[in-house]
Amino acid sequence: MISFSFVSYTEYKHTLKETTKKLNEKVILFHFETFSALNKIYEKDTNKHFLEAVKKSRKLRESFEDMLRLIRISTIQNLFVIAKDKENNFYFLLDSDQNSKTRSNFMEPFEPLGNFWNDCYKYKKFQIFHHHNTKNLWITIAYPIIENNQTVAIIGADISRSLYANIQSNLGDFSNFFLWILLLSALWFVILYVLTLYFRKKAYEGYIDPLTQVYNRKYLYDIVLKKLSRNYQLFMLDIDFFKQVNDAYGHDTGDFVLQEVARRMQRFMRSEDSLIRYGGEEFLIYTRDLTPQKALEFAERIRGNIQSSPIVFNEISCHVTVSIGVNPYAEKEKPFQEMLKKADEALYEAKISGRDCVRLSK
Amino acid sequence: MFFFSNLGASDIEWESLILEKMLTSMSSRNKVLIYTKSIKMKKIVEYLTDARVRVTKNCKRADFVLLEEDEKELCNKPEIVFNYRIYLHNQNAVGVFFWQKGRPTIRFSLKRLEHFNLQVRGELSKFVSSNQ
Repeated sequence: MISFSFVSYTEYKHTLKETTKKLNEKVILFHFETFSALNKIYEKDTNKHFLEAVKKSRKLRESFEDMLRLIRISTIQNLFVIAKDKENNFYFLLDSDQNSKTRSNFMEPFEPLGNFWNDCYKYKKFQIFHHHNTKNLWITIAYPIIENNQTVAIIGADISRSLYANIQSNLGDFSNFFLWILLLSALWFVILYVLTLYFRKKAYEGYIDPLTQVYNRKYLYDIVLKKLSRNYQLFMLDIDFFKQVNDAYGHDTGDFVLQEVARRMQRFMRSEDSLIRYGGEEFLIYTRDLTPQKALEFAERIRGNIQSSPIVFNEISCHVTVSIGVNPYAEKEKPFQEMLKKADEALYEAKISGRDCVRLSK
Repeated sequence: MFFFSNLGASDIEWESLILEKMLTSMSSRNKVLIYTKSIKMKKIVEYLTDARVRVTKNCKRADFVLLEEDEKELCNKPEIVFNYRIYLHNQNAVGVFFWQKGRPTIRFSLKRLEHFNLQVRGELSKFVSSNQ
């Protein structure tokens, strides 16, 4: 989900950036064509002596400023013409702004932000500059006025930030839509995850014997049989004289004995082993990677631990023993029931041998 | 330009930064005393961070006077103004800072600086003009 979100977000940012870039390019291209037309008019009206003519004649400046105002549409924040003096200082020639408080007058200094104005002079080609470090300006276009193969002045246009804000606002709707989709997807993933955990928990609870909290027979047949090792071991364990315990001390004591026996066996289980309550007082242990000798020692440890101390319940003390039949030779290739039967036969052997012992199958 | 290292600053923070640069580039003393009657200037001055620049209530003690649009010249001190037309006509105005087409513009007058025996050092020296 994290990967999906990351990839989606990265792709969205990339698309947003590309779309913004394309829209910006369209805006620039549109203005560029207008300046090109204006430049031709200036050229014609001054007989290709633009700078000289504009400096000399106030009337001409006013006329040219009128033209600037005609082409200054709402997307243009500032539209002006500047030139450079011998000391390379820029100054205003024309300004489309009519407001006496904010307009720049003839010969007033112009502060060039960025080197692109000089580049425009030098390379005699229009320049586009994206302002990133100031909130007042967005894109500036510098369009050279060229005479005798020299740049004599520059038409400068600052594209309005409100256009940028407009574009961002429209893209913002798209962005919101995308974010909603992402949020819903995230929510969906969370719900799916929670449901998975819930159903897994429910499934797990279906495999647990409620009294002893060890696995039940359903677990044996649903899970263990599906992951049998090539060679494995089965231990059939039966509590000796359990019926007598129940008859003598009651079912509550009997239940406690079963729980305590299961707890004492659990201590010996490794993570790959399974302890299963197979019947009333019968348990089955599945292990793997044990040699017959190791299997015997394992069974003996369990037997010894169970009978080592009495089980006390409500001041009733029971000395409990178990008989264990072990099939250390079980193979996956052979039918499981057959392997189980051998462990069962070994258990029978243990019982007839006097109980409280371990027998290996042949 | 040094101004643009401070991304996201408000206009008033910009203006105080620029003003501070202008004042400290004209004076090498430990203390630069400024005087202003303008409410707007007083607000800008609050954002000054250089400890050398201090405000005085006595115009005669000031090293520089900050003059707003409609104010008259005071105390015959070197002035910094914030309107280019005022700068052109005010003979005490050694420097001007104003916003032009969204761009901060600074100018110093060489003649007037010399009159007050001042000089602009450092990166702002390129804004000194001999025209006024």
